[in-house]
Amino acid sequence: MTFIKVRSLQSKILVLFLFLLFIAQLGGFFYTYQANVKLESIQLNNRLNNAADVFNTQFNNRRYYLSAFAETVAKDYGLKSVLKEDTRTLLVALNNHRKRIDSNLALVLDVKGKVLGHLFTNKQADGTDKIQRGTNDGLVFEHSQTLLGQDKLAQLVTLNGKLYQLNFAPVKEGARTIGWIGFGYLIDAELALDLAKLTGVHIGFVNHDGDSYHVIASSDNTNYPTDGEVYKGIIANTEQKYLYRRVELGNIGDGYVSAILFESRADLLKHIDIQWASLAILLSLSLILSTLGAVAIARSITKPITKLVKQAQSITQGNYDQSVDVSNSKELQQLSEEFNHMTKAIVSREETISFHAFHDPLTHLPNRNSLINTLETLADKQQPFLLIQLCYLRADEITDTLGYQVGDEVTMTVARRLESSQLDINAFHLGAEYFVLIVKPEQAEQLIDKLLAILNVSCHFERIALHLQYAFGIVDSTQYENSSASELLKKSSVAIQRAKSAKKSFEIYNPVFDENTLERLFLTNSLKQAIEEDQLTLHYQPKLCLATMTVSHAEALVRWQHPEKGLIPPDEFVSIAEKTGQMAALTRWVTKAAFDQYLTWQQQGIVINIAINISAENILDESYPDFVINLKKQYQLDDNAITLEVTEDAVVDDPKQATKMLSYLRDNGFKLSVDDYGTGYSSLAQLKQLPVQELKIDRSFVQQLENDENDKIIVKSTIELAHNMSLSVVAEGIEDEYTLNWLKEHNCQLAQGYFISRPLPSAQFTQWLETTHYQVKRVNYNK
Amino acid sequence: MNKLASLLLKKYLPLVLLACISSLKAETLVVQVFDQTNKPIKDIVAFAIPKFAIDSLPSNTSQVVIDQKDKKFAPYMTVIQKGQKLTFENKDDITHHIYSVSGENRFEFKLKTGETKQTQALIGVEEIAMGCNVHDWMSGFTLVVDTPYFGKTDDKGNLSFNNLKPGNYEISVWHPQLDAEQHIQSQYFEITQGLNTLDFVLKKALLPIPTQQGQDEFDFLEEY
Repeated sequence: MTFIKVRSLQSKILVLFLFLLFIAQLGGFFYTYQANVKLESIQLNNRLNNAADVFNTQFNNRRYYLSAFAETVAKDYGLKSVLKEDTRTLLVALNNHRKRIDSNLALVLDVKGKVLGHLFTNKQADGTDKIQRGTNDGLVFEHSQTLLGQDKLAQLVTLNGKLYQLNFAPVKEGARTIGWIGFGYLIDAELALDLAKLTGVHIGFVNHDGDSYHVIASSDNTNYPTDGEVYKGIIANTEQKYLYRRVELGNIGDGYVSAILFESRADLLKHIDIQWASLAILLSLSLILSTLGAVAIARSITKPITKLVKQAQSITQGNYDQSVDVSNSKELQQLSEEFNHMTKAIVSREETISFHAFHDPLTHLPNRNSLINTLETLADKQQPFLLIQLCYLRADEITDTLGYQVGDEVTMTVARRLESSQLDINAFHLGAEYFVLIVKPEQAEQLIDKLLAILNVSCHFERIALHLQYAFGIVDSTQYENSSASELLKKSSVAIQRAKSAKKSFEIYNPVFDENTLERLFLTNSLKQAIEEDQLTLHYQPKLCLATMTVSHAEALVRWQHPEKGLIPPDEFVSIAEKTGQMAALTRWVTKAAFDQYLTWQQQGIVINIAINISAENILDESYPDFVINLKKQYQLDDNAITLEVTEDAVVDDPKQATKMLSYLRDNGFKLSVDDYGTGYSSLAQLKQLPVQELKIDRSFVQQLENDENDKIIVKSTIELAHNMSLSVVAEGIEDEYTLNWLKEHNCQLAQGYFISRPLPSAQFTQWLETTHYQVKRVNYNK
Repeated sequence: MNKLASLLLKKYLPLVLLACISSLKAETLVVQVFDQTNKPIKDIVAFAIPKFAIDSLPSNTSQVVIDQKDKKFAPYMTVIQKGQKLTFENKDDITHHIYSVSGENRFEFKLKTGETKQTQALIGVEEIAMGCNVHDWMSGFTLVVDTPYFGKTDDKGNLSFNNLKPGNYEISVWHPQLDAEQHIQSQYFEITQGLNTLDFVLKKALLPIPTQQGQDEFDFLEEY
């Protein structure tokens, strides 16, 4: 049904049905019509055949009738006895006989064929017949040669321009023929009409003499005149509109006479036309009924579909309670069952999805979404509570060293313990090592102790005992009643980060924390800009050579002079730079600035080694060594003009790469120093292999040196150790004279600290050099 | 004429003498009728008409009877002299209706069983065809001749005329089935003294004589 754009299934079925019906009806109609035409044609042929048979019978009957009558009359003694009497007597007797069969012609001939009596009828204007005498009395009858003594039935003769069927019988005297008596019928329009009525077809008589045909009479002279086209067509055998038969009647002279029986095909079609009308009525009636039927069928098919559509719509709206029941057909029932199954499947999947939406896939504890909902519910009820975010520490290390599976198991263990605790807590899992608890307000320290009692149980994984440490961030809901759920959660995050960074077991949220956090975010965004726009400056802290009490070195320390925030300490933005991948750019900036300063001081005649801090990231960045080496060549700096301080941690992360890189730098004339020595985990073996010249003892060992004997031991042994390994030693964090002197006594090479000077901007540092009581190494440097 | 007669007389004298010896009376004519195949024909009518002036010919007054027997005319053929009467005698047990409706000698009468009826003196010289109006097939013929010399041939086809005066005669043979004008074939013959013989040969064979018998569908009639 592509040629009709029908959208609805019902219409499609309807159209298809009607189309098929129409075709079927048309086919049936056509077939019926054809059959009718054929039947009519056969009937017409049959009718003509029957008519021909009837005609033949009738015509032969007439012949027989004439013969028999002539025979009878010939033997009539009355007539026989007056045969040779006077003519009038004979004619009267003859006419008496003629009237009995109403013949049109009566003849009495003598044995030689001479006419003794001749009577014939003549049609009058009023339709009646009048008997007339022939005028050939005493003459030999013109057809006596052909007719007399022939033992045949009635013959055809033309007499006075009329065609007769005529039969003679001999009048005998004993065996002796003494005369002839004959009777004849006219073959004329009247006969044609009579036979036409009898046979039901049109009839015409045709005389064929030699070459030409001549229609003598027609049964319907009005419609089919004897000289009409129909007869001409039939005679010429070209007539198509009529079916016809020829019946030979007999010879006459050289020619012969035949009857033509014919029937118009048009009459037949007229008959069929009537059937056409009734068929058309039948067709339209059946079309109407079929249409109604098709509508009903289409409805019965589409009704369940409509039901299913409604069901689908209600599922779309989330209403799963309804189920459809369609029992019209097996297929549709199956479909509806599948539909109901589908609904159930959707419900079950939705439950799963819903579960996953509100529960952590690993621990199956309620997740953050669930937490938000719970918090909102609590807020609505205005119930006070404590929001505690907790995490176990060193999660990354656990996964890094023991694998993700162990990490997951640890997380699971924590979750299970929270779940199974007897405390009145609601536990949620935010993801990874982070959990949230909602508890009724109570004293924080006690609560944490109780929690730790549950959680501080060592875990055993793959024969390794892990003693988990935790950090808690606590938010008291009563203090932040206007905060939304997510804001509360964020506050707890801030608190826990605070606790972690402060290495405390817990922290209660304070709004001050927020500002720092925001600031960090702000700094992160503007650090790049700061590097590009020279908002950074370098401060220098002098290092004193204890042997000569000369300011021989300075450590370059980066400061951020923010246009709005003022001076930002490095602790804050260096870690940001490390985390945001801006360390390379920052270090490069610092390096270049330090080199510039070195040149500046060199031009002023001040000889001072500048130390630059490089991070672990810089060490792993293979392009940095080349950068700094090229810069040194470019600035034409002497060897050992620049010290590169590397933290112990940086070396520990990738000793092989660090060794390779440090060797490369040392070979290119840089002095290398291990920064913050003592805080990391570097082994002596590693230290031994590092191509460094200097150790820098972390300030934590130095700051309390005066009062702490342990520190003294550590520092002293470190100095000795370094010296044994041919390394010079720098101590930082010197804040008093005692320490300075103690270090000098113990042969520490360089000292750095507030006691000598705090870090100063370059200009102030230059000025400090002018005023300090320590020696400064100067040269006459003229370029 | 006399010279010729005397000539003939001389010529046939022995014959005449023989005839005179055998029949001492007048001249005799023996006519024997043959067909084309020389087969003698019996029961055919022959008659002789003198062609010379005779004052008076003897009249035959004997009664001629035609029986209706077995629904037939018996005899089939009858010959009578002009002026004679025909007598019909019904020997059947059924009524006959005898008629002759053409020609000059017309008659008709019904004959009940055993009845006998006589016609008037028949004066028309002609062949009379007779029929029975009850029995269509019955057919009989009577020839009326204007001469006392007539008869039917015997089994050998011979017919003798006695007591003839010599002279010229018209010798005729008649049979209803003779295919000739008026069913008569004639020839002239000079009868002389003594015994005359004439071999009369028919120019055409006789047509078959219709059997006077009803059609088979009327079998039941045979019983009546």
